[in-house]
Amino acid sequence: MKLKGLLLGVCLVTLFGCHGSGQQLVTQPLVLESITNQVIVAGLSEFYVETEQLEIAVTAFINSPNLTTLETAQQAWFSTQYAWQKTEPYQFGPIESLRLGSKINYWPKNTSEINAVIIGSDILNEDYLGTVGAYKKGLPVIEFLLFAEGSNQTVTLFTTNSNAERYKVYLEILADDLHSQALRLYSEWQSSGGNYQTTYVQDSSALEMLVNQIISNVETIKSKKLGKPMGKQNGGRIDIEMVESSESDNGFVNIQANLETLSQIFQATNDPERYRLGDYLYTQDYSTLQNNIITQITLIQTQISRIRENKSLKEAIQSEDTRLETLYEQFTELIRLLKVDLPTAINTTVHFNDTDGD
Amino acid sequence: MILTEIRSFIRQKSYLSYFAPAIFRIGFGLVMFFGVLRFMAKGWVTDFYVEPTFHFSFTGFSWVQPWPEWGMWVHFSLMAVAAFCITIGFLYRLVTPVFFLLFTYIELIDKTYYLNHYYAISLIAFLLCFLPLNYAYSVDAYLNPTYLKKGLSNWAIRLIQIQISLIYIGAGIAKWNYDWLVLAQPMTLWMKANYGLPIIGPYLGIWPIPHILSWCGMLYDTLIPFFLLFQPTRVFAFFAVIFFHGLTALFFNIGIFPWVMIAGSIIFFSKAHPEENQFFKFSFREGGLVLFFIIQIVLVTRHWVYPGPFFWTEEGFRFSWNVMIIEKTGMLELQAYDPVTQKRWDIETLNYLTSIQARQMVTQPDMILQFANFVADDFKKRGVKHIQVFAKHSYVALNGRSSKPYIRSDLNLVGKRRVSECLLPYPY
Repeated sequence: MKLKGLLLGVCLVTLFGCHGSGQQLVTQPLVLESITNQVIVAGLSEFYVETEQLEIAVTAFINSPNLTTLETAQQAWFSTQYAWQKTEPYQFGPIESLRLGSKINYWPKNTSEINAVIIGSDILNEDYLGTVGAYKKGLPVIEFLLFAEGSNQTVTLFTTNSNAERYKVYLEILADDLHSQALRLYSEWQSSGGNYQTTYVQDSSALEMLVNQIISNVETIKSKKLGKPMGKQNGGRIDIEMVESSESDNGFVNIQANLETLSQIFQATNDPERYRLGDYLYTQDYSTLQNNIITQITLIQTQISRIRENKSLKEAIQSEDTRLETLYEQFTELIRLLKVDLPTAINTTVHFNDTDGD
Repeated sequence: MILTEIRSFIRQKSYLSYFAPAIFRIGFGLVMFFGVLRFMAKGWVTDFYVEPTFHFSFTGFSWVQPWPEWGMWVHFSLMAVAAFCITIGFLYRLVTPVFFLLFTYIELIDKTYYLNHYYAISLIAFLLCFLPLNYAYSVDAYLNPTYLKKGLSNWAIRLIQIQISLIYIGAGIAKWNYDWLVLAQPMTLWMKANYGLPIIGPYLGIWPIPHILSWCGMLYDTLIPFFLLFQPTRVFAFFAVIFFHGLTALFFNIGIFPWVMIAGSIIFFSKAHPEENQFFKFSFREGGLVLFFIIQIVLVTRHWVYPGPFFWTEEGFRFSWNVMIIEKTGMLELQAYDPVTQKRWDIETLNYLTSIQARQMVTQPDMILQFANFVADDFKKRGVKHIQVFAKHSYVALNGRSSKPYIRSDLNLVGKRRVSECLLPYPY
């Protein structure tokens, strides 16, 4: 009997226990755990740290507004914005339930509303931001205050302008609020806080959530970050106001940050400590799809780099650069791979609503 | 009085078979009642019928439109009340047609939410209108004990059995195809999707398990009505039904379907009252019901007259018991073009449709055509008279295969009604 049991065990292990040429089985839980720890939580931590640096830089600028401190604050904003953009492909869970996304990065920004705050008489303090809409806070508003008028003029706004004091207080509470929201978001995922990281990994639809968010992110890049300003949805009428981060002219960098995370998620590592979705696709015999996704991401990154050599996103749109059309279509191809082929490969479905089916 | 009647039947061997149709009615009513409550509780009344500004109507049924929001809630509330009345057998002759009409009306509003089991429910509810299943275990029978004595004629029982059998056999025959039996698709995809199940999860998607399950599913659907009809195998078959549908409830997101079919199989335990042991008393009414089954068979087989593989074209796919035989994913990007001004608009689907409508549309060509024409009408209303609409990017992946272009990108879809002229050839 024992021998039979042993043989059965050996057969089962032979049949199911390994995959390919002696490689350890890359399971969904392993992949999810490493992506959660090494990409998602690490990314949120990075964003939190960057908001802390931004808060410090903003305080230094407010205490002593000059070109040097302004530049430091602007660099800190760039870093924070980059860290935030990297989180976009995995913005699900607490960020949705607590509606933190719009509090951190609501765009396109409403500049007249921001100016109304400056020239208004509302008392600007921490409580104030709790009472106002998303378009009066977050990264885009900080960007507007730091970049909109050019460096010299910006310093003037914070020194000799009749509303200089309100500029300072507004910027200060914005940076402080952003830091608080970043902390809240990071804490929700941490095991010492809301522990969503454990909840997420144990969720049977965890991979589906990630894939759906990735698709949503890529579709947003195509239709909103590129398509809308290019006039794709309004008969070709260019609308430069719709460019994300238009004051800092940072549109391409935002997209590159998104792509960096996608690349991180889909790049196979072949390292059991750092398994990614790419490793999973390989073991599911979808190495071609994995290669195609990585190739497409690389193509897009290369195309952006080429355009960036002499133009920003705003400039490329304004000059109707034909290379942008190519970029736009390259995103279509990426969407096809992610939305049509990937769900089959990872055995999940793309959807945004609960229903029955047969 | 009724208790005396029941006691006398308990003493007879035919107790279960005599009351089985009434138990079936209670089971069906309960599943419907809780099904409707569940639908309302999940917020689907608003999500599916109030929120959308456009509905994918069935050919010939564009007049079936949702009521205003309060009307939809009243509609569903009435449906729940009717289902409850069926369960307890109160005002049965009145509430069965009411339930049938209310339920079928909802089903006909929008193709997006078409499900085979909704179709099955409509058919069974239609039959109930003609069959006095309130003869026992009902308020009606309590108020009028002669109902119990009359019992249920054999033909009435047979009609429900034929209906349930048609569903099973139709679903079984639909599985006689290469993808299901040879490739074990889409079973392999579904089994892999259940990877997270404890212990067995990781092994479900590995050969030969999906093949075994595919063949078992095909054999089950094709043969189970016969095992249910045959007295010596009936009890075994009933437990098989519970086991099979229990598994489908575990593996698949198919709502109330397993419970409908478990309730449906109870009818096979029925036996006619000894005094009414005629199989068929042919009359105008019964003749009409024969026609009812013939129409169903015509609907099931109509895809044979359409060109192209119906997995790809989906022509004749609905109302044909193609239960869970394909898994499609897709994407669609429409572009509107005005030849006069040469302006182009990439259509944001979600500006017109809800996410579930959009998801269902991208793999169903008749819905794509409907939507393209709806978009064109919208542009025309805004003054763009000569608008053309193209499927700029349309891809579909079928049963685990890689994605392929689906709708012709060079064809103006405005005014097009036939799927076959818009689809690209089957590529696999």
